[in-house]
Amino acid sequence: MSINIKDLVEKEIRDDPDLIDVATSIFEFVQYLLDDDDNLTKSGNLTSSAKSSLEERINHLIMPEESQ
Amino acid sequence: MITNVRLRNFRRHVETDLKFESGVNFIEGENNAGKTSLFMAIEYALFGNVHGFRSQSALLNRVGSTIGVEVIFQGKDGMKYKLQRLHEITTRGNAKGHYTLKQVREDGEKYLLSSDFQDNPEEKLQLKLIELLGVSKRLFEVAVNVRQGEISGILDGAPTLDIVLGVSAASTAEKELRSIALGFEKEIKELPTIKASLEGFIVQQQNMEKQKETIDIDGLDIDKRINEFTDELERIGETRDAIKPVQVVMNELIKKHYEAGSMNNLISMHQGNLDDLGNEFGDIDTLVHEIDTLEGEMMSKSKTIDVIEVSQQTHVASLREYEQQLGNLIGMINRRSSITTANCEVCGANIDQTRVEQELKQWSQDRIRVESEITRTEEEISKLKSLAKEESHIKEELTRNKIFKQSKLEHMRELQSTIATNITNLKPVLGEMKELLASLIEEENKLKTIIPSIEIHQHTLEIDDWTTWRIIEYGGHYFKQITELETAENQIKVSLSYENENKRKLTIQKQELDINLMQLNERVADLTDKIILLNNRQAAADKLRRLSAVFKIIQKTLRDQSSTELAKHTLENHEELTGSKEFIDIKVDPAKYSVYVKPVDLNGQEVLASLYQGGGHKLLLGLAYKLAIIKLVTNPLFILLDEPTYGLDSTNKSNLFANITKVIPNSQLLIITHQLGGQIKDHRIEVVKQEKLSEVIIHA
Repeated sequence: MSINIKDLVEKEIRDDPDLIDVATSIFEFVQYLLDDDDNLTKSGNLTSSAKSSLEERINHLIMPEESQ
Repeated sequence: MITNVRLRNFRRHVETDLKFESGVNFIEGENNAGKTSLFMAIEYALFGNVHGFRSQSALLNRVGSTIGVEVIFQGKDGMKYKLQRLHEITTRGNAKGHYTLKQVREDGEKYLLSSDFQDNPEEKLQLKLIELLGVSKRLFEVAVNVRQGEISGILDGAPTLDIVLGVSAASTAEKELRSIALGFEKEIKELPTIKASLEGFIVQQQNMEKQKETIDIDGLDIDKRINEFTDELERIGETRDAIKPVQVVMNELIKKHYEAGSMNNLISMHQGNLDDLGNEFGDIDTLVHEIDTLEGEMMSKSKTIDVIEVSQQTHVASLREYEQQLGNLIGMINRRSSITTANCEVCGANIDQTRVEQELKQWSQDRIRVESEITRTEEEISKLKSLAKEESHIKEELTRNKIFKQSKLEHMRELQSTIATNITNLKPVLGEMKELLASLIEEENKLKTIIPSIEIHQHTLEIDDWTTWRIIEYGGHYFKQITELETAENQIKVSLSYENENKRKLTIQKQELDINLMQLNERVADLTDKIILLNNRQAAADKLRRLSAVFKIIQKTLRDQSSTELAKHTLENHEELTGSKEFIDIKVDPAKYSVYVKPVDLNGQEVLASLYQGGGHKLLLGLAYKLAIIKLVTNPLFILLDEPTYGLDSTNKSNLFANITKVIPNSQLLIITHQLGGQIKDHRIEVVKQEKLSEVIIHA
């Protein structure tokens, strides 16, 4: 068995396919940020720059009409 | 699966082309031959840098100035891809990198990504590689790229496993989503206040619209009245224009009337004067006669004066003689009286004294007589002078009288001539005036007939019947009408001015209202936008909250499931790799991911794996754990193992090589070793050390 984030998300969100895609995209982006040490502080949290980038991405995914 | 790798100027490899097969690929060679550089090249191609190397320039060999690696791989979708990456190294050691990712098809290559044409190019590539290979940078570091000497260390767990397993991502996403939701919820708190404000503004807006409608209606009423007044003024103007010629004619008529009257009076006056002069013509004759009489008298007086003057001259001459006689007598008397001698002093003759005395007596008597005559003559002359003076005075009086009368006569004659001339001159002018008056009246009558709106008394004026009062009355009729029109016009103008002022005020009021309304509309629009935004934020906050809750659950699920699954897979993997069952059970601490084992020989006692066993056993257990991680996270297309058998005895080494493909049957294995010993028949790549460079020999 391997971890499948989409399956886990679908299990929790069954009624909103768009939200499943949003959740998966957010997870993948966070994972991408965490994969690079340049995005992490010494304590392992996201740097402010990475946080801003994540916030921007989340806003774009949650409210695409506002990002346009 | 990685099928090809090409290295250019990468560490010891100037130009190396490698080809890999599915299944196990061994890379063998002596120490420092450049075997690990091949794995570094793959890491560099995939992620742009190599763990432990701060800069790409450190990866460059001394031959070239550009490092480049090309990796061709088969993705999860079965398609072939070519990833090319290079860095140009400047003389100062700075590196400028590029990459391209292409899909390799039978009909050619298709560009998918290029660092030169992408925003956030590295992010795009990494996400694409996760999609195509299932390998993230962190997973590569922790489990896919199994480095020499780092295998057994994983048994104590690794903080980065939280990242690799997605726990950190779920946790971070949960926190960030909650944080953003909180921010939105803070903004949303303003929503009721903004809605209340909007409602207030909308009420104001409606009131203003009503005010505007009222102003518009009032404006229309005012416009209507202004139009009425303007029309009325126009009508009055037209009437005045119509009356104006009559007024002009009337003014002219009255003026001419008075001028004609004056002219008549003038003529009458002159006629009277002329008549008076005519009456006085007799006086002129008397005056002429008197002047003639005066001239006669003057002549007579002149003659009298001449006689007197002659007489006077005679008397004066007599007087001169008497005075001469008197002088002679006085002289003789004086000479005789002064003779004291008896003889003449001249001739010497004897002087008769008696005779002398007689002569003196005679001469004295003569003297008295002459003196008397002189006195009388002087008196006579004086009388004559007085008389002449009197006569001259009378004559002068007569002369003055004559001159006065002559002057009077000339004046009267001139006056007579002037009056006659005036009468002669005025008569035709008077005639012209009368004719002009007649034409004016005729013109007036014509005008009266073409102005039916004006009630004009129909007079038939005979020029001779003119009287001042009729003219004035007649003119007054017009003046009254004009005055009435002017009064009406002034009243209308006042009303019009009042209405215009009202209109102006109303216009200003409307403009102010429009500005206020526009500002209000802008505020309403702003607030409406804000409400839409906040409603969207509300919906977004709900989504964020929901997703945050989902990630909280996923985080727990991942952590719990991961530790259970990792323990289970590690036990299975270990049994596969060793071909024996050494542990009753294995557990993984969900907090630190450290491994606990229950060895068979300890009767079920649980101990920390890293403390329990020796190097070879720990290496095998560590490898089993790493492979469990890989299998849990993804279905790995390839695994890199650098000296995984280092420290193993020959039995375990043989078991490992024999069984590892059973643990991960679907993955390609690239294994670096220098202890192969010719016992493996699979695909082998030999890396040969050539002084400071490396050379590769492929044994199919």
